[in-house]
Amino acid sequence: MPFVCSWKVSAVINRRPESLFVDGRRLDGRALDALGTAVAETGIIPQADGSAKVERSGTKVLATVRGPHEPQKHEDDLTHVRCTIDVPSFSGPVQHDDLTERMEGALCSLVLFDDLPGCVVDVRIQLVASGASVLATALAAATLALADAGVPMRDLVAAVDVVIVHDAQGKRFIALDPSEIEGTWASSTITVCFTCHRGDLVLLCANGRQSQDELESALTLAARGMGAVSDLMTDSFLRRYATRGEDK
Amino acid sequence: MARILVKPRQLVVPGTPLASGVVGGAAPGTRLDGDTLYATVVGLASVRSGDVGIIPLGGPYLPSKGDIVIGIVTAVRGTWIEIDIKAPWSADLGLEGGDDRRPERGWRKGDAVLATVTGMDEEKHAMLDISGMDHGPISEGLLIDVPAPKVARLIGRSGSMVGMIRELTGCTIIVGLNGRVMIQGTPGGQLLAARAVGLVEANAHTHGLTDAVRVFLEGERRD
Repeated sequence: MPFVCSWKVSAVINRRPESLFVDGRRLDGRALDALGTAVAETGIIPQADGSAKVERSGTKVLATVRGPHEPQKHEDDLTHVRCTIDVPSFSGPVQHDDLTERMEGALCSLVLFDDLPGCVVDVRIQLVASGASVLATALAAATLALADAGVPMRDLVAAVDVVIVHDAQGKRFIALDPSEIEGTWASSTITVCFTCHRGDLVLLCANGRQSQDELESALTLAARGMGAVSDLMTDSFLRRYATRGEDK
Repeated sequence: MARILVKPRQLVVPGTPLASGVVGGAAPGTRLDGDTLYATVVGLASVRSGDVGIIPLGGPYLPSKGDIVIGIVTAVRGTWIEIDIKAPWSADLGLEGGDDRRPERGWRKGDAVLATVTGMDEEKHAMLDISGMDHGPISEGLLIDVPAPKVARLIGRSGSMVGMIRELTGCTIIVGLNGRVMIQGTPGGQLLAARAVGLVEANAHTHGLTDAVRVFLEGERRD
């Protein structure tokens, strides 16, 4: 087991490396259109109505769901899905300022409240570690936790980040599912969220500047990676019920 | 004629297409978009005589008229009691009327009660009644929660599963359709029955469960 010293890792991230890409490949050896490793688990907290954990690109997110339930008498929320995001001080900097609004918007479009009139669902996101793809990872975890809670939904979602990075020589790279270091030095980050089965676009969120060509390239790249992300989401349930049985 | 796109007992997740060319309505846990039927919850596909449905593996209890439920008193008002029946909406038990079985005085927050759902108001709050046989406050026993969709498996075909657990543990077991189970008996019997219920809950989606529970209970009794 190698010894990992955290201050050395920070030093590398904070100093821009000479090149993030070597011979069209990233520093971790992945091709630009390849996804990194990711882990998704559901039903990890039996006390919650639904729960899920997703780890990807140095980001670790734990999502729990309470509900559906009636709102308290004094609560006058207009949204059916209420997100709360906890960012502990140790988790690292978070680049998105309006994570809550973006997540609520995306999740409200997925949840079906026809059979649950007057009800709300509370989604609590714990950002255990903040690397790259925070919004995409949080959305994935929230969706899995909602499905685990048995909340009726249109579809699961597959969310992924695409970054546009310029190296020291000014050469541009567009990379799918950025690593933590690529996310740090990206000039533009585009979060794309499709439904897993039908491929409907649920969320498109771009930070930084990008041309129309770059945006189109990013969307094409994201669409190419969606299949694998969708499999990750679905497999989290398959693994749970096939191997461990239901454990709630 | 609908074309079925899933196998019987296949695990499906929200958005999984179940059948195409469907004419008619959508069963609970599914939705119809055009002529294609999609799953809206995680569950097992149920295919019977050309119809596709979902056996959900989780989710809230949705009350319907006639359900026998076990509730917990959450608030005592002047003429009614608010009861938590594990549904998204609270349920109400009226205290008016002259029925001798209704202890108008002495209700306390946290009391367990066996009741029947007599209907729902326009806001989906269930109305309860405790005039049925053995209905009313439950004074003793071990109360355990199971997910409401798994209650059918716990009861078994014609009550076979719960009947077997009763027989082999010597306990009285009251199963509320809302996913609350009351076990009454000796302390050892209660714990054994609770473990058997836990076994059913953990393996509700598997085949041969009745035999597995019987083997478990007989093994525990021998030990």
